[in-house]
Amino acid sequence: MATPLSGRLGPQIGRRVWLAASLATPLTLAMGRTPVGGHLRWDLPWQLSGLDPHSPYDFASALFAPAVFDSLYDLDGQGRPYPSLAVDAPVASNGGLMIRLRSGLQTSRARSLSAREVVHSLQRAKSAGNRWLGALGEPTLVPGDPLAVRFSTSNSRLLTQRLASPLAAIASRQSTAIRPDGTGSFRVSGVGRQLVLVRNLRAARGSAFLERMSIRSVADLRQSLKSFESGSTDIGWLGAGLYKARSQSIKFQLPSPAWVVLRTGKDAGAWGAPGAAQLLSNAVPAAQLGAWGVRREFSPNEQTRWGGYATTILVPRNEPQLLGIAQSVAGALSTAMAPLTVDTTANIAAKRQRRDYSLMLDVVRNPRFLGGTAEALYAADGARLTRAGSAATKNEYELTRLLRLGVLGELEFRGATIPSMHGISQPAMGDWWLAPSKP
Amino acid sequence: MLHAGRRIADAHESPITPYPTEMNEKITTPRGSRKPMGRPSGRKATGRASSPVGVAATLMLLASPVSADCRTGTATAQLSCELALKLKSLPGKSLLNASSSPEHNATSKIATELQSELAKRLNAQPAPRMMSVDEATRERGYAQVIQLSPVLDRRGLTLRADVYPRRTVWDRVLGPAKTIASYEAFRRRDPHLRQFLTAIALTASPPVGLNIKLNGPVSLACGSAPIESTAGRLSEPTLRSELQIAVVERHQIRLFALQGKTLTRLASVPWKRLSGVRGTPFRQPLTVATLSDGLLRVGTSDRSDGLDLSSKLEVLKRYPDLLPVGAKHCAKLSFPGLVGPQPCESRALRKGQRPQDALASLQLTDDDGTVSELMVGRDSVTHVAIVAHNGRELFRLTNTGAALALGDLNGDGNAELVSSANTQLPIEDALTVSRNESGKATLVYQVPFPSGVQAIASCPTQGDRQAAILVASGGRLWRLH
Repeated sequence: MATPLSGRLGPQIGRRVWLAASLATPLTLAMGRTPVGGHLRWDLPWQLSGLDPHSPYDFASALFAPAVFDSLYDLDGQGRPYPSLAVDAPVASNGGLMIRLRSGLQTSRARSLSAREVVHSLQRAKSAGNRWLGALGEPTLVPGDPLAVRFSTSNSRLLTQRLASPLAAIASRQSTAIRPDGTGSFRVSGVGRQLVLVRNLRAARGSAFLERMSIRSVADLRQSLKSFESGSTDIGWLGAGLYKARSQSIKFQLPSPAWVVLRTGKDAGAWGAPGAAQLLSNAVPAAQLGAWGVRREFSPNEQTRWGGYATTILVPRNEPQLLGIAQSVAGALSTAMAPLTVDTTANIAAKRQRRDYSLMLDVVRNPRFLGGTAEALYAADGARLTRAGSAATKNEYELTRLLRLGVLGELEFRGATIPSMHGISQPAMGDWWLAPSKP
Repeated sequence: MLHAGRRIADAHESPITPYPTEMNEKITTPRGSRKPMGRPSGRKATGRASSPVGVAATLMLLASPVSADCRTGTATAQLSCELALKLKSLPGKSLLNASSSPEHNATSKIATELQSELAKRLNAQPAPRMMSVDEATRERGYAQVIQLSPVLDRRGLTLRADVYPRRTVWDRVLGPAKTIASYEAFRRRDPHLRQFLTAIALTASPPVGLNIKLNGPVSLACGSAPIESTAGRLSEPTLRSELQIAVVERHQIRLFALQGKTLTRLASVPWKRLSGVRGTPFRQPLTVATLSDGLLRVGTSDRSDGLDLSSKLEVLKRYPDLLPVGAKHCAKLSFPGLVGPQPCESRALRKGQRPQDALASLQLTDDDGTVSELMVGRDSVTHVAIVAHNGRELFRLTNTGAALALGDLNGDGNAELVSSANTQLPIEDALTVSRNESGKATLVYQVPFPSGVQAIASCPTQGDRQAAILVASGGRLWRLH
């Protein structure tokens, strides 16, 4: 069986999809400088009611939070951490490690960033479900140094790798999902039906080239493709048009930021046993998933079908793409004896917490550090990862054999854009940036 | 052409030298003349004219301040004036003898000019012909010989004057002539001196790769080697062939000496040792660097401080939140570029200024001897590069790339603009040299750089060759003449 392991567990290029090359990335190919200005419009079949950089289950945050927030470290193309908001590599301190924040940093809402924000953000990230941050020990303030944070771990590599995760982003203490406040290249000026990102002139790693991005939440994928085809938007999500490809559009594909998973809950009965969810997931044909932007690079030839009572697959409300995936899954797994339907809920977080469902389709963000796949999936399942070392060598489909969730595949970040949008089609440059070639 | 009455004097890319504002003079006393000064070694002081004259001249020269009266006029007039002030207390009549460098026939003309200028100001007589020192010191009727040794190169005029006592037959038997005082001074090339130099044709040459690997260069600077690093006595090296190159990368600054095709690393320093990361850097770094006589002025949008660095890359001066531009100015970051240049002390942004995303400068000497700077800046929105002098536009080049340099490549006193192409595709990139013709930019030549031009620097003119242009492209450094 071909496994999609290689290159997945390790970091991939361009985590910061909206960002240009970092301070550590040589970015000197441009002869004229990258043009600045412009307004990018985009219709997306995902809910945009808020941005929470620490939420492990929110796809919109997986896409856009890295544009608004930075982490203490970032990873280069080879997966090596380098300081981003941190001033340098961690230094040994009292048996642990100490990290200093760069001085003079301000969030997009002009709040100074200090060690307090670091501690607050990491604690918030951990309580949001990113249990893998617990391995670093509790971050503590260093008396007399307002920019220093101490960690009890003495493993510098572990610390920097995990702090480079977008899920360990640093936000101001006042930041909320509907009023996000970070140091990224954009600041959020509106959430809800439309997410509006405008250039952040206080960006810790450089302001965006674009002046503004407006991302509208639409009811289905067809609408997103149609609006791109007709020229009313600048990005086509998962394609270049609904009926035909927009003329001169350029396709792009970027590293996936999340997986779509099938959970089995308390109401699944015997089908709620560990491993059953992955068996069911494997039985969904990859071709059906591909149409909805879910990529699975192997075909397990699994013939399993849902064998429980007639039930529903629960999905979060107002997530059209996820709804479409759920319908495909229901179609693939249903039998005449045990039909599956799809239902939505506004209270997905509580139901997830209580496992109050038979089947649930959910999103789990990729934390993007070595071994992060196992950590993230185990944390999403609420299971305890005891042998992290061996788990790190397995792919996500094998890891979940012991879990009550199964990985359907990666949620793709692909589509098409207009030719004047510079950089989106050039991920080979080490990273990519989004800027108009003509402002 | 530049506007009337203003000429460019030096091909440095924004040099800073001690010369423009002050005579860089050195008073040296020869080893044998220290005790007692001016006396031929092995002889007792006898009260001859040579000894008291030597002692008096040396003391007088050491004590004399540079006169402000001598800072106007042509370079030869200024040097003559300075020298006359230094030597006016010499007792008796002096013989003005001259020697010329074989490199330039023009030197003898300049020597003659200096002789006649000095003869007007001193109790001195020009020698009827160029004589050797031995010959000159034998001439009767003079208390001493002032031996003038002017050296003209494309940087300017170096004048050395050695004072020798008149020597009797007995003195000549005892040994060769010894100076009792020496005087050295330099003046930057001005329009008057330029007429003695031969014109150089501006032609494209194939780029020559230099033995250095670049790691994401963001700026280059090229300048002449500092005076201290040469032979010590200004009069000895007639044409200084050594250039210094500063390579400013995102994580370090490296300084090299360039002699022929050979680059020798002089110093390097990581940025983090020089300045912290700026709180709000630019996504694409914007860096300005100028190098002259060992002084590197550098600033980048990545770092919080602009810096003046020594030839050992030690910090001489910091400019918090500013980027030093040219010899005296600074610019301030204002997304997506820089505003200024303005005096470094001024903190206020000039209202209404459009940000520029590339800046370069070139020092020039006016007809009246004052030194000022030409600046070129590229508008970050229109991509028009405007070459200006004291805020007044000289010419402009449209659709310019973001790598810019100004240089007097052929030593004719007019600035050439060296620029990259305004493209996002490396394959389309090229180095373009344009010059000002009646206020309009005219293409001189273009050299393709299919790996993309990342940074450009123009070097000072050296000898009778076109000034070198340095280009960072494809991870290598290239030189064009």
